[in-house]
Amino acid sequence: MSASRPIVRALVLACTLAPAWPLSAQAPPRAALFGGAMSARVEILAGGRAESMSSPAFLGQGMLSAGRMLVELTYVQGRLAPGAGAIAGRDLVDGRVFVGVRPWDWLSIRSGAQARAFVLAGGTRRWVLGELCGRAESSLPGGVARGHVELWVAPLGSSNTGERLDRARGGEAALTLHPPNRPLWAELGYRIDRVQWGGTRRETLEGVSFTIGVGLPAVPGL
Amino acid sequence: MTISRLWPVVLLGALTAIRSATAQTAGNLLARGVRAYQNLDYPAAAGLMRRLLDESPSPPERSVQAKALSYLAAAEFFQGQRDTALATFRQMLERDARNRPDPLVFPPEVQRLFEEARRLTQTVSAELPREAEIRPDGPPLVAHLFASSPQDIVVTVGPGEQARRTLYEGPIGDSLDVRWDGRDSLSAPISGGHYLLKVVAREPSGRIHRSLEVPLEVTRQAQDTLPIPPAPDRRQILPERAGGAPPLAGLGRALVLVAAVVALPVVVGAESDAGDGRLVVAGAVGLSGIIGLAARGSGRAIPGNIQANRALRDAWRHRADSVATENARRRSAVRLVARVGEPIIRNSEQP
Repeated sequence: MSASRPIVRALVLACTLAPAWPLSAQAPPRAALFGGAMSARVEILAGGRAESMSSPAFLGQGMLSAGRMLVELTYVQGRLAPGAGAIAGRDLVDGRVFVGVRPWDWLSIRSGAQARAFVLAGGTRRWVLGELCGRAESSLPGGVARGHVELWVAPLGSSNTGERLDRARGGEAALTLHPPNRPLWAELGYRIDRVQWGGTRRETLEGVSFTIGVGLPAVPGL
Repeated sequence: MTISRLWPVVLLGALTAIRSATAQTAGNLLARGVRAYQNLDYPAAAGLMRRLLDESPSPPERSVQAKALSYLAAAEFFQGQRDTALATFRQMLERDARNRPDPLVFPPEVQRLFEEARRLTQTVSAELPREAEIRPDGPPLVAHLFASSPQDIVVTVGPGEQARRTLYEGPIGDSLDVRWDGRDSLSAPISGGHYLLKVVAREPSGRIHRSLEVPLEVTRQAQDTLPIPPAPDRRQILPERAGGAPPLAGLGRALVLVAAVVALPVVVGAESDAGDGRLVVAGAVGLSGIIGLAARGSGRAIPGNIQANRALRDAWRHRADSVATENARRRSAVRLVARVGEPIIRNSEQP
């Protein structure tokens, strides 16, 4: 993995700084805001001890699209209640920022960063990942609903505890309902990711979210 | 250049030379005959005109024939051969009822003799186009009839002696136009074939003393029908639904999405920690696909495109209906082409 890191870094950087996409000027910008709740569940396996926590969390999302370019921000915050094996609860704060291009209407390629923090009474555990992401979208019969599947990998990552990133992968699938000629959206989503650090720590976050969006669709024709 | 390549040129030259020689001979004889008549050498004039009429290798033109017959009759008259001159004038009228001796050339006594011949000779000549199109609902075939003197005629047309259609029956003064619309005696469009336009001159007693027969070769020609305009091409049809796919493809996408949601934990390598939350989303996606498919087919309707497509289809249907109507009209319409042969005069003594 270490040998390929410079290449991956360059790739992430190129995707992140790819805003000079020539098609970006061809259509007026479109913007949308999502807000809703997520039922989050976190499983942490560290030092042979498994902890399980869950929480309703706030989920906010913003999206800006101009031609084939897009920028997406996601923010999740919640108070994780301790479950099986967990001694104490903690705050969960998760944020993502992605810049991407949409070569076809059904596919977008994004790159960006994700940061997550678990705030405990004794300190905060924080990490940052550099991610590459692909999302496929498709309309569903009826023309009102649309679905998407997203997968991401994080070739880069750092933690404030100094642990080395072993592997980080995640994905998301969602059903978006968008009544014709209305600026309102509703999205039912499912996301899951797993991050492994230093060979001893494994975090899994899974969530089912329901959000309401306001704004114009990012994909023409939806 | 070989002989075989030369022979068409040689043949054409020979034909031209023969035709030219014939014309020169006829013209020369006529000129010599006229000169002899003007010099009061009537026997010579009559001889030259007879040579012109009887011994020419090919029949002279009608105008030359008429002129030669006029001079011949006048020469015969001035030689004291009145009956012969009368017969010559009658012959001139039989060739064409419109023939007249030139009043500026021939004196009144010759004109009087011609008028007597006219009274005695009741003949009709016909003028028709060499080829004419006949339509029952369109322009008919027009025969221009010219009479040498007032008489009663019967004009009929038909394939034989039976089932002839009478086109005209009554008197003819100087001239008369007779029209035929291509229908038979039962007023049905004819099917084509060999026909005869017959002009029969009757005496007051009803006896037929002369008839003129004009052969008509009638062919029935079907009109070409027009091709039905092709239906609008798929590329011309605008999408009527947005964001949609064909119904089965749309359902297929929904199923793929359901599978992707269910398999997501496996793909990210977190299947051991995954809960059942994803099944809610998978179920919602599947339900949405089925409901969407049942409720609205595929995609959101685009009224503008639907209207444009309807206008396109209506315009095509209108054009196709117009062509179908026109084709039906063409199929029912009969188009006949008549080729007119040389008229034949039959006297009563002829069978």
